[in-house]
Amino acid sequence: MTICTKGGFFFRRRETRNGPLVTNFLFWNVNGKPLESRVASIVRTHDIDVVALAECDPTSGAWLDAISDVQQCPYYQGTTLLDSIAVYTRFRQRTMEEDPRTRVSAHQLFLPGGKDVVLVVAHLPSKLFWQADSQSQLCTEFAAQVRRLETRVGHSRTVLVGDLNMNPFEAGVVSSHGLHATMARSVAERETRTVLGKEYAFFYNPMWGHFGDALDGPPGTYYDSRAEAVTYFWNLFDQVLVRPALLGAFDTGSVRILDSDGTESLLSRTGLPEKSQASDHLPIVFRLDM
Amino acid sequence: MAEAARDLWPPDIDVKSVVPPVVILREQASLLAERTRSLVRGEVESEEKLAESVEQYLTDALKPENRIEYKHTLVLVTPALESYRYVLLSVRHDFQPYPCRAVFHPDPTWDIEGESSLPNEQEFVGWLKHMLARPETKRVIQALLYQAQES
Repeated sequence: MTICTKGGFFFRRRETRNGPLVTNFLFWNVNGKPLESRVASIVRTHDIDVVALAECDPTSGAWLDAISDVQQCPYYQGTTLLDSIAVYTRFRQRTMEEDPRTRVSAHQLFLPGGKDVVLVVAHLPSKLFWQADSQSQLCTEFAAQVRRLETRVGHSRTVLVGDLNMNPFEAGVVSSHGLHATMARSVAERETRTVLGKEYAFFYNPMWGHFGDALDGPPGTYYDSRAEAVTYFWNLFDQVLVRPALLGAFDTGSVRILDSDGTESLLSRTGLPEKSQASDHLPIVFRLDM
Repeated sequence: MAEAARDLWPPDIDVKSVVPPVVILREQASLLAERTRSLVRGEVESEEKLAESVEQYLTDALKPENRIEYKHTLVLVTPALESYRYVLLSVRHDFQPYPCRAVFHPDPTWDIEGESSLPNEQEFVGWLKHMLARPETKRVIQALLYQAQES
């Protein structure tokens, strides 16, 4: 086991832009592939500040080198003992907590604008191994973990991103006992909802808007055409959820499912994720202005 | 002269008769700090777990004793690494401390049934001793100690 703290805990303030500072995020499940150059290409194309990867080897320095080289500035990696999640940032971060069971890695990001944000990166168990009810049950524990993290830092400026291995409409994501993520910003703005006498904080889930063909871009992040009666084909397992405290800084339109790394397509000729040259998941990018 | 009160309670009811999992976990958490000169210490987080769904809540409402579930989590904390926390294991039980169900978080088993059901204190202590001696536990603590001393 290797522990990673590359880059130390210093940070470099970004020297551009007036007004609210823009922070660009990338999440990608790279499917255990050495896609450093493709990640670097996305980082360069979208000027990414925060890179969160799943199914990668965080002990490999190649990710950090590729990202730092392409942007010609240092990125920093927090402490990690997990074997499949890595977070690289252009500014100071600290790893708050890691849980190998849920595959959750929580980080406190000290944004150049002065405020800190909690970034929770998750790669929840696959449907290959866990039934929907079990996934939902785990989400109850996961949600409690997020609440404890927020209590510890004293605010709920939280971004949750990852491969949840559930669609946005599934119980574990929607339920008040689970992640409690709603499709509508106007609902999330209520901040909390009371169910059977107990108050639950909302997440806003912008991924609902990315189902199907309504927007430019792929109809989902993960394609599965298994031969069973109910099949969605395209799924939105890769999601970003935002607490109401960050809604003012979060532009729903900034969320994009990428079909290209900026140079080469991430899709096959049939329009499906190109598994051999890239990943079976498509990356998502989004932005905070604060 | 007043007669001594008759004690009709059975002999096995007293505070020492059963040591609940949370007390055992706290003991081990404290001992880890001693063993590592506080470079890595244990913390026990406890919570009362809610029903898993509205339907479950309504079902449990008919049996209030079923509604209460306690979960205790042993977390490794490294102050020198900006209080980095690693979730090592957790145990849950209902209003009685035993039987309890315990899970070792670094276990690669992707099966929720991987939880161990432990009928009594003795079984729990045996399970805990085994998990604390697992190579994964030792590797995590060694890695944290190394990094804490480096920082």
